[in-house]
Amino acid sequence: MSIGRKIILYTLLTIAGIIMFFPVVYAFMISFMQGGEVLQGKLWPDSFSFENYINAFEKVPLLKYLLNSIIVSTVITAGQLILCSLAAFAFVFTQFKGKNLLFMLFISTMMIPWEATMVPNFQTIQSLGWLNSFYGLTIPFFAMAFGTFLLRQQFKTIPIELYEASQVSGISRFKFFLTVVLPLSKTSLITLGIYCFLTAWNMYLWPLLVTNDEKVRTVQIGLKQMQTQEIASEWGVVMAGVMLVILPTLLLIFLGQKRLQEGLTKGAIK
Amino acid sequence: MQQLKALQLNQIRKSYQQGAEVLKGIDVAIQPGEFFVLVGPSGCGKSTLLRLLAGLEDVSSGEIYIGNEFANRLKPSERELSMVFQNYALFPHMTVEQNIMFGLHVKKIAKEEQRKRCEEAAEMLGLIPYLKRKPKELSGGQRQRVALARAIVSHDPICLMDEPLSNLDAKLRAKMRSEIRQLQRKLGITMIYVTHDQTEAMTMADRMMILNQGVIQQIGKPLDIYNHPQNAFVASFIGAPPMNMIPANVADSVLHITENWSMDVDIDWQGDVIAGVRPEHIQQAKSGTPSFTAEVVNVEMLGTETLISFEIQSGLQWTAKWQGQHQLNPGDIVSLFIDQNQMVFFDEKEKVNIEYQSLGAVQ
Ligand SMILES: Nc1ncnc2c1ncn2[C@@H]1O[C@H](COP(=O)(O)OP(=O)(O)OP(=O)(O)O)[C@@H](O)[C@H]1O
Ligand SMILES: [Mg+2]
Repeated sequence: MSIGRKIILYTLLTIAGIIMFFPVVYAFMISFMQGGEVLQGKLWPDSFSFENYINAFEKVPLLKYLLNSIIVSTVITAGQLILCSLAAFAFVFTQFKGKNLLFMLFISTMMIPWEATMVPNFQTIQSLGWLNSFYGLTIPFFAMAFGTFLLRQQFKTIPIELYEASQVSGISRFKFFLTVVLPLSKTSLITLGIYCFLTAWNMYLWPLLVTNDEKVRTVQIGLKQMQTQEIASEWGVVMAGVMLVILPTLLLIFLGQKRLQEGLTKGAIK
Repeated sequence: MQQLKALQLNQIRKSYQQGAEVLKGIDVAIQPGEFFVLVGPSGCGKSTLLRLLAGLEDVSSGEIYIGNEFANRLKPSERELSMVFQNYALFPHMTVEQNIMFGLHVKKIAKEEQRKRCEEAAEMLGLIPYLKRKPKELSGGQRQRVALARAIVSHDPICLMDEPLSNLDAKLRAKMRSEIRQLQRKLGITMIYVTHDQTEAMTMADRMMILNQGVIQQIGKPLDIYNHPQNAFVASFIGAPPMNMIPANVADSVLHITENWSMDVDIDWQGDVIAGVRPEHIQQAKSGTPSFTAEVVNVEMLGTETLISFEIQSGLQWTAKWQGQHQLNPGDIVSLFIDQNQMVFFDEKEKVNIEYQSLGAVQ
């Protein structure tokens, strides 16, 4: 690549980077500003003080919400990984009548938006008495067609001879699943895990519906609550809250990315 | 070390859900401790038969006996056999050692004993330096040996192998052939070995079975099959280069091969036949022997022998194999001689060796 092209490329990339990252940086800056500064349209705070952050913790039980969110996201991720991998295993390694039809049916549920099933789901959860509980927040998200689909594609790349060799040596199906299929699909499992965690972390509508006190309420609701309370006058406090909330997700992406790249390159040089 | 086991197949038939019958009534008894080779062209049903034996597929009809036990409904693990797959089926995320010992703990074998067996097998196959490596860090031949070791450590009396050498280069293949053969003798395993390579079949088998389109063509010792092929398919499949054949006619003990070549034969047959002769039996004519002449089309010198192709009829080439080195060029005219006792005849319609027809059905 010539120097000229390189310069153009890097300029474009830098501009795109700035555009993409501006909202986050701006929010970060606001989180240090006093109420008046925001309205004056300043980009840089007069002084960096953690006052807004301390305020954020005092206005709403942010720490409690963060903890709830971590619990909910972790449980959903674990539940989905377990159920999806088991379902995908059944779709790939067992033979039964109507397997393909069942799979099509399974996949077709991806076409129905989650919001459309919200009302019946809510009624189910309500009649089970799971409102305001971690059950209601997590269990409806365990079985997901997308995760099953993703893992099925991965499992299908495992040579069937490995399964047959295990059968001949007398390894049980479940043992084969644990000792061969899962280790060989580590990369896909991590990808799906990160995806699940982020989706669960950013969930807003469902937690809003099924929770009505701070006992199990998640952090996204907390933010909204903070915003309404402040009535737009204390943007600094709200943005401080936002910064605290995106911290865990950023952390996850940074850590996960390293593992992901590792997994990807490992698979590449076969 | 273990008791030898026989295998018996009665009228095995197999068809997959959609489509035609893949195996059409296989009857064979495999002796304990025998090296039995299954050979045939691609798609003839060899792998299918092996998978039926292993229990990875169910038979459509027929009976399988392993030892003296009715085995149709036994699970793969209950059949006490080991299997080596064409692509080796090694677990990529486990070390060589883990691969070899994989499956031993299921048999409730003590840790101590597992380790001992693994060492033994690794020692035998020269894998000791590689025990801690992953399969992808091994060469093809080494991987093949790991697959072998995995089959050995189970101490199962029967071993099934599906084209285990097809991914190796010619030299390594020759070496592994003799290694597998020696190992089988040493351990006294009943071996069922699938290949599409007739050289492999000829050199390794105690007995072999030739399969074509799901039908048994012939079962027997390699040399018997080579010398007395039951039909034209076997004759052309076994032997390299393949047997030369030509439609001919017998009238009053005279075989008319081409317009200008006929010879006396001593067979009890009248009418059309297919005459066959192996390349090594087409000799250079000495003066005084009845002979025919042909024009050389191609010459391949292999050092110890020379392959001469010539056109016997327009559009039909034969090959002769002469010992030693012969300086010939395309276009040369050679004088050739065939001993009538070396000729094989197949009837025109069924393509069955007439030698077997006069003897009645064989096998
Ligand atoms: N699972 C299956 N479903 C349907 N047909 C099959 C299946 N497996 C094999 N066949 C068919 O059965 C026939 C025999 O296949 P098989 O694998 O036994 O051949 P093979 O003799 O092992 O050939 P090769 O030397 O190429 O391995 C083929 O025509 C193949 O198309
Ligand atoms: Mg095959």
